[in-house]
Order: sequence, then structure tokens, then C-alpha cells
Amino acid sequence: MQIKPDEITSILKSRIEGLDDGDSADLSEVGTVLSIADGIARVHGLDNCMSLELLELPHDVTGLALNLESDNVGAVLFGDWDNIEEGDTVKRTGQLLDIPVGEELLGRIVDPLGKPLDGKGDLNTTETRPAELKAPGVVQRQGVKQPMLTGIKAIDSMIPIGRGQRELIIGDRQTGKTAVALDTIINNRDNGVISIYVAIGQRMSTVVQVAETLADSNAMENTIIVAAPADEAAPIKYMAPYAGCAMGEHFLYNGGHALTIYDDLTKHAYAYRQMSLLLRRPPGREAYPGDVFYLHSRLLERAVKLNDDLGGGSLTSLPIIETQAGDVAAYIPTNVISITDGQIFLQGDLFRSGVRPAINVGISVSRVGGDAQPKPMKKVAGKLRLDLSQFRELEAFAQFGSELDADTQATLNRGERLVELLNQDELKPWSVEDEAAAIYSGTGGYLDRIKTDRIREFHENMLSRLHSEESDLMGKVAEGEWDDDIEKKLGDAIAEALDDFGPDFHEDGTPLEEGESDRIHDEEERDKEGRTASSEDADDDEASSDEDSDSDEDSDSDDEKSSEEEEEAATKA
Amino acid sequence: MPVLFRIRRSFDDLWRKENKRLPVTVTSAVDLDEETLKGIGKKIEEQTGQQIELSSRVDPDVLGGLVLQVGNQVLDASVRNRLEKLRKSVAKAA
Repeated sequence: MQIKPDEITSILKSRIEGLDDGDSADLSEVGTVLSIADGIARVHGLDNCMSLELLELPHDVTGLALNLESDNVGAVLFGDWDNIEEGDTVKRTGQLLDIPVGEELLGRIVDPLGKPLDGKGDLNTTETRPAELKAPGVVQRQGVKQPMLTGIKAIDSMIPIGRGQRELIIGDRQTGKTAVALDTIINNRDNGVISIYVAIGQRMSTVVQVAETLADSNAMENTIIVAAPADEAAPIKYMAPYAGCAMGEHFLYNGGHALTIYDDLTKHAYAYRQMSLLLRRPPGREAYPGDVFYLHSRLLERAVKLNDDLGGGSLTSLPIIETQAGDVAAYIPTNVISITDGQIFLQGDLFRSGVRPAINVGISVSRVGGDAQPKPMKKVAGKLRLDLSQFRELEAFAQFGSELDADTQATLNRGERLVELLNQDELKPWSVEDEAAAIYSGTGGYLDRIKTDRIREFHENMLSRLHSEESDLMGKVAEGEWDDDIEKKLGDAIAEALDDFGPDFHEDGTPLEEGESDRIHDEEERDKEGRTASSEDADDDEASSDEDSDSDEDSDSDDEKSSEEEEEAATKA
Repeated sequence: MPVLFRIRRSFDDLWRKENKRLPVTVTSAVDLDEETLKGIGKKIEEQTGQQIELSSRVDPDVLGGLVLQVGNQVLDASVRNRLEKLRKSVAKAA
């Protein structure tokens, strides 16, 4: 920043001249600090103090009044409270907590009070919004009807998310929860959606990594990162999601579309528990205070699709909850499951058996996103869900290795391919037309004719071909058009791509003989050349595929268990 | 001990309420003469309609002007407060 001495002098002069104008005396209400410990101050006086009002303490410390009692006020302190002593004066400000908002925040990393953390200079925001705001009521809302595509095949097809929805991402540590959220940010970087990533209680190195990932994917320009890392005081972590939500609401109430990700609300609940216990509020289940449900429900209720009179803006929320050893029946997970409009379940054993993203589609649901799903996706996904559930039913039988009739074998083959088809690399979101075409190739039975491990290669091949030769058709699908004609054309194009790629099986499922397809012939040749080297690899492959099927079995039994748990949780709620 | 202090404080509060007494503290940078203090005291008594317990303090940090504490209310008309406000507004503008 360029500093001009002249300007500063003139600013100073004008301020000093204005100093005598108006009433220069301040009337304010004060109290004194009775006791201070663990970032909590008890203040005597302040008779007219409001709940959640900001307080001014010496040494530039700010307090937030939380407990209003008959003879004192309990306040949590932001900032460096080490120098505060008993007897210090506390001043009321008459303001509730305001968060700076605006376009200036885009591309920045800020703390929950809106101070920059990324060293890129001042924010120069002009507007503020209250951190706590009542959610819009019935009249201001309308149904969720626009899609919020994640670019992840399994989610967009079977667990569709709409703008204004609250969809929980839940799973153990290291199962790819953040990756799902980041994919969604990246997938929406070009369509005007503003993303706000709120990191609560995470390592700062993780936050930096997220920022770098987003910057590398050119998604940082319309993203705000609100960071309350692990070393911050509990009140700061407590404020973080509300601050992020306020920043999103700025865009929402200006007719825009915002996406907030709270990563994660488990740590938010920990921070609130710490504050509540230190304020001596009575502990309840798992030592959380009685209003921990309200803590999250008032936050998530602020996700909304506004009606057209109010600009039709939307705020979509993707809260993240970390479970311990898949225990979704714990207090916080059940709470947030019952608040949100559905959940995406990520499972460790699926992750380890190579399913990426490790979504358990059997117990993941989206309760409102169906209306928001693009038409082609809706058409191809209906069959996908059915085929997959049939596959899961039969999967257990297949483990016995007994002789299966042709129908069962066909269902198993189809299911195996569909599972493989839904696999996807991290940080590579797919466009909706690619997703629809890929899923159609599976549910339409085209993939039944090639080996499972060649599906990925085939899809790359097929999609580049579709984009170059059938760009009109793909354009229509991307626009959301779908009818019998488009379906037939797409089917023909996929069949053609398959023939050129070289199928492994006849249409009736019997393997192609050597020489029947060019590719098989080529492969035999290649095999002969490198036989000695590749024979060991082949053994390894076999071994690993055995392991895969074993862990599949495990995951299946776990599925049943967790779905039971979920039902239990639902009845409790 | 803290309990004892709290009892004392509560007692003081109740005593003042009962007798309609109001503690007033005048803080200034220089020693004020008796007459000025009384004048201030009288004005406050008229406005609040309560008996006041007047005490005065000298605090050079105030620099100039007066800081008046009436019960829980503080009227800050000191030079220190004005300079502090100036500091804040300049810091915000820069």
C-alpha cells in the first residue's frame, strides 16, 4: 500500500477539527469484573445488558454476554484476556455481534470476526450483518427446485442436492468428507455460486491445504474461507459457523446463490460444550448443555431458497459431522441427522475396499433434492438405484460360491459394473452430461460387455468420442432435455463407441474368443512378449481381488447394522 | 472470603436502594475546589431525585475534562476519551 503523507495529514486535521463538534461526552453503562478464569468473566453491574451483546474491556478485549443472572453477567472473552484483572471496568456497547460481509471477502481467508489471516492486506468491507439472525419464515421461502450439482456421480444421481437444501456429510475420520465438499465447490466455480468454507477446530495446515487445493482448481476467486483453527479460543470457534452463514446471507439476500460448508460441527459442539461448562450451565447427555440441539438447528435453519419476490436467492448448507467408529447414534450425529434434509454417509470399510468416494448409497438419502434433479439424471438414475439394491441383496449369496442361475449372475455382473462406474477421482468433478451418459452406459447394459477393470478406460474413450462426434446431443442433455429420441441416439452412440473400443463378452455374456476382436488379439501378442514379467503381477491381482470381495462382505453386514441404528435414531428423534 | 465480599456488596446495594442513595464519583485531572464539586452534586440530585454520596478522585490520565460515574452509568467528557475516539477513527480510516 502506498502511503501519502499529505493525505494522512489532511485526514488527521479534519478529524481533529471535527473533534469538538456534537456532544463529545459519552454516556455509557459500565460494570466491574468480579472474577475471570478460562476466558470467562463474571461482571457486576450492567443491569440493562442484552443477551449476546458485545462488551468492551480494557486492553482491546471484547466480550460476549451469554449468561444474564440476577446479580451478574457471564461473558466469554475474545482476544488476549491474560491482562484483564478483577475490578476492571466493562463497558456496554449496545450492539449485537456484527460480521463484516461483502464481495471484498472473496478469495480471502478470514477469522470469524472478519479479520484477514492470509496477509493479503485489509479487507475494506463496507457492510456488516448480524452474526445471529432469525431464519426466514414460511412466506419468504419456496420449494427447493434448482440443482446444486456436486460433480460426483453417486451423489448427483442418487442423492441429489438442491439449492437451499441442508445435506449432512457424515463419516469417520479419513473417509473423504472434506473431499466431497471441495468437489462441490470446484464444480460450482463457474456458475455464480459463492462458496463459504468454514473450518472449525481444524489444524491450520489443513486449512492452508484446502486453500491451496481451491486455488489450484481456480475456485478460490468465489470462495471465502472462515478459519477458526484448533488453537483459537472456544468462543471464536463457537462464532465461526454463524459468521460464515452471515457472509453467505449477504449474497442470498442480494438474489445470489451461496453454499456454506461447516467443517465440522462436531468440533463446534465441543467448543460450545466447553463454554457452557465453564459458564456453569447444567450438563446433560454426553455433558452437552440442554440447548445444543438449538445451537445447530438455528444455524442450519438459515439455509433457504427465497421466493421470487425476494430475489429468489438461495443458501445451501453442507454441514460435516465426524463420527467415532461409525457410531451415528451418538448425541450430536443424531441431532444433526434429524435437522438436515438428508445425509451422505461415508464409510471407512468402503473407502478401504477401493470405493471412491466411499458413499454408502443404501443409507444415504436426500429428502428434498428430487425436484431439483435435472431431467436426464432423474431418468437414468431411477434404474441405477433399483439395479444397485438388487445387487446388494444378492451379493451375500454370491459369497457362498454356489452355482447361480443366469439371471442372478447377470444381476451380479451388472451391480459390480455399476459400483465400478460410480468410482471417481478426488477433485475431478464431472459435468452433468458426462455423468448422465456414463450412468446410462451402465444401466443400459452396455458395460456388461466389457470387463470391470476396463470401465474407466472405456468411459474416457466414450466421453471424448461423444463430445467430438455428438456434441449437439451432449449439449441437449446438459440443458436438461431428455426424451425417447435422445435416449435412443445416446444408446446408439454408446454402442458404437463400445464396438470400436472392443468388447470382452458377447451380448449373451459368453467371453469373446481370440481373434474375434482386434483388441483381444493385440493383447495376446503383448502378453506373449512380457509373459515372464507379468505372470507375478497377475497373481498379485488375483490376491487383491479376493481381498476386495472379502471386505465387500464386511461392509454389507455393517450396512445393515448402521441402517438399523439409523432407524433407531429416527424413532428416538 | 469471596462470599463475605459478595454479602457486603449485596448489603450495600440493598442499603442504597432502601435509602434512595446514589454513589457518584467525579474523576478529574486536577484537584477540584469544594464549590464546583457541590455544584455538580446538586445538579445530579435535582435530576435523579435521589440522595447522592459524592466522592472525588484525581487521575492525571484523564488529561482534562470530567468523568462522572452515577451508579452504573458513566458520563465520559474527558480529553482522554476524545483522543481515544480520534485514535479509533483514524485507525479505521487508514
